[in-house]
Amino acid sequence: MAILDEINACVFAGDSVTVREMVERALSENVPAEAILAGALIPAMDQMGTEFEAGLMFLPDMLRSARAMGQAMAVLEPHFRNAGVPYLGKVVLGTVAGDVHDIGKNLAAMMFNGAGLEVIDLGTDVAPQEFVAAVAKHHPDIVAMSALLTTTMPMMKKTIEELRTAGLRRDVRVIVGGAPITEAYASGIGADWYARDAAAGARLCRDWILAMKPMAAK
Amino acid sequence: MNARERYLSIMDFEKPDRLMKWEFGYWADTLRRWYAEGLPEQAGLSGPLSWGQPVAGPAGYWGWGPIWTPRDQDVQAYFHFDHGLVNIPVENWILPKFEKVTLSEEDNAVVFIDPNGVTTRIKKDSPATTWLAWPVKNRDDWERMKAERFQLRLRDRLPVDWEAQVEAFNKRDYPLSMGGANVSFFGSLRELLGDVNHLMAYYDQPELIHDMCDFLCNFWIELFEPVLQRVKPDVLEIFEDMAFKNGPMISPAMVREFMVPYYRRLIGFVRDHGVRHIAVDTDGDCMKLIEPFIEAGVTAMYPWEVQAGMNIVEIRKAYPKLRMLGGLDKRALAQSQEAIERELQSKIPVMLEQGGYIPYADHLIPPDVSWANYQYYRRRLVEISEQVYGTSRAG
Repeated sequence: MAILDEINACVFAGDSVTVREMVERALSENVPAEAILAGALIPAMDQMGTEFEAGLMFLPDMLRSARAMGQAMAVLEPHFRNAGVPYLGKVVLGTVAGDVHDIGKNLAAMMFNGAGLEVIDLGTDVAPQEFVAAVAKHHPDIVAMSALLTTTMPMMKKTIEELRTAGLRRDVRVIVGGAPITEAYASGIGADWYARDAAAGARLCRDWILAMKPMAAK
Repeated sequence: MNARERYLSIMDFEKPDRLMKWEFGYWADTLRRWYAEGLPEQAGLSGPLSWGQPVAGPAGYWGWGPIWTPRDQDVQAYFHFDHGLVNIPVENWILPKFEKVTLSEEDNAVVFIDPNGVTTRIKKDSPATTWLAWPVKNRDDWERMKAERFQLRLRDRLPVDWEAQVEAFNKRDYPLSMGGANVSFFGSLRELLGDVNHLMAYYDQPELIHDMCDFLCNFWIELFEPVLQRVKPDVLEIFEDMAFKNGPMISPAMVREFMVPYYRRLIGFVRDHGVRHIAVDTDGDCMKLIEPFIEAGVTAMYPWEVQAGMNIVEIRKAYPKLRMLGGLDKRALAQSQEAIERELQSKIPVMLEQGGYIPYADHLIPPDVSWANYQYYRRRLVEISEQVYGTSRAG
């Protein structure tokens, strides 16, 4: 569908003004909100992720596209609510205690959102108990933690332990990322997944949710 | 050789008399751990530092700066490190400073405007500082900042004992730098605009980015001119920190468009005043930044974070004339003597043999490094360097 291609191109190019107009026009032409999400926005985020991982897109490009995606989602969200269409899943996200770096975390929030996931963003310097309280309150599918410092990454392990102590660990998948984090470290602390970057993390979570909840994709 | 002669000989790819014994720095908790494990505590930590407070080693120009950073004395004394880099104390940033204003104070946190105009929140139960808002959002803010907060006022930007310092600098036996935080054309803008606004401005307000770089370039040239008439530093330090784990924060094309022209002008100016070395401090995977920086006139880079994929031996093959500092994997220091040995043997002999290299860890030493491991690493560094330099005086 041509209009979906145009919306996709607007997101990819980071044109947040035109993308709003295009999404509104698509809705006025009775294109379902779910089709716009699945046929234009999610493919755009996938494409961005691929280019980012390949070193062809940089943070200003990603932020600009993510902003365009946010504009599109802002137009679509009332339609999802009115139609009772849920998000694919829910993510509780934050930068761990003692760490205030938020570019990667913010980018992850935008990418998760663009992947059709509801994001509960706890911000930076989030204590393990705050993650636990958010899981108890929001019942997410996934907990995503970011750390930039070697000195703060042990808080990921601490948070996982606190989730276990609270009896909530089995209710969620845990994904971790950030500068000092490696696959081996993620595995060693008992996380389920490691993400090399925000785009890879969003794709991983979305694919898992679609596999676990195939109805969500419909 | 004194420390300055040793530094200059290495930076000129000549063979020094022995190893340049420098370290980048430490987290405060690292030093606390080492004191508990046997490092003699003579000077100690200067004040009640939070666990994550950086403490400069001899290679850290940021031992002096607009944001004051403490400098270690005890590790320095224990290992007889070389005299550290000294930065000419010229205030190169906002002046007059913003008056500190407390905006809110609750049980757990205080929010205030800091001297550089950044709205800051400090939680009482956490060492982490969160920055909430920055002084420049648009062109109007910037025009106001230029007029009100970047006044030259040279007398106020120099220390009160400037004449005595000039005399001491001109008799120095240690390497002297100028610049550092916030002299840069990416890092400085981040301090004014904030992370996200800064990155978005390359698309949303490109003319603002150019104007900020142009103004700051002219400002620093005007500021440094009278200083360079009196003192000739050995190196211009540039603080960027513009790469992360997976690459630079902006594209090489953006670096060439928005930064390189201003660097060429600034570097050309200091070169005309006899400053031969230009060193850039950036963390992360900075591979794609090397060529633009070399085009701009940069001669040295550090600290080459291994966890971001930086391998100094491989990078040296591609850029044989680039001076390199750091590049030793701090994570290896936390593991075992075998891991330290592997790290040193894979890098130190070849890098010292080629020259233009000062070895130290690839960033601050974290607190998971034991005192025993750190001692082993420093001892082996000296021993391996003796084999390369052919001297037994390195210890």
